Amino acid sequence: MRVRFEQVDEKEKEQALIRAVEKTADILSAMDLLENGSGGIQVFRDRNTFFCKLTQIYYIESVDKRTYVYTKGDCFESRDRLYELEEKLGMYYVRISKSMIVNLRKIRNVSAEPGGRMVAVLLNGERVIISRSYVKEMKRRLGIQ
Amino acid sequence: MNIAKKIFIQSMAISTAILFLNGVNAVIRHFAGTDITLQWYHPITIVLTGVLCALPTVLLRDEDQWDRKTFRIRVSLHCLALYAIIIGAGRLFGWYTDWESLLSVSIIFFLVYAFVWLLSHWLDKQDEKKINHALDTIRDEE
Repeated sequence: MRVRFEQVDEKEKEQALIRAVEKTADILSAMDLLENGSGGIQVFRDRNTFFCKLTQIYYIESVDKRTYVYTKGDCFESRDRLYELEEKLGMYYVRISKSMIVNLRKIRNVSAEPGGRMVAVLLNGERVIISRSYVKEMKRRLGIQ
Repeated sequence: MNIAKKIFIQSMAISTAILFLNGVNAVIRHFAGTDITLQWYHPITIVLTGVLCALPTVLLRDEDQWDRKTFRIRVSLHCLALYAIIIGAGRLFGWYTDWESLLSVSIIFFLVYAFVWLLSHWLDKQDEKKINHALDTIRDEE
């Protein structure tokens, strides 16, 4: 496959377009790499250290100055503060309240409630609240004007 | 948003809305053959009422963090507080003179209040549709 690189002047303008006959395993892993980076974050549970891939994370919550990372069925702790993680995570991670970051790719659907907030139902059935003041940023990340 | 900034913006918005409604009312009455004349104190009382009406906004602070019951109670209190301010200001500044005009002011107030909330909710529902549509294109398969 021919690969072409074109430089842009802003981070917001970065995008990759793959033209292919079908989504092969190689292409899927390339998409995953481009969208989420190669990384993950170091997390802890019961004094054990784990490496959590970004694609596994559903949401991250800060409670009493401690940061908890939630995957499909597990909960880990991170030593990073929420704002530090916000910088490390990929474009699909967005702040939805003062104390929570959610992985947009793990949201099944959202529903608007009176008062301007929204409720997001995640793929594992959990519900999280999207504060009114963060809806605008969420729309921007999703490319909605 | 800072609460003082929110109150200031609302004061301006409410004052402008009252002036606009009065303007429309004056145009309609003019073409109906009954011109109305504003007194020297009417514009300033409209601005003052705008500021007073913005104060109950404190009741709606952090509205997106309440449960439904709290939301209903606070919005009801907000609505009643605004109604009391409008009726009180109207009586103080002589905006209405008889029971009939008081009744029409009351009906218009509640219709406008309900309309603003419904419009706001409708706009939120439009956002909901757009967001769900956008999420469909990036959702992980599990």
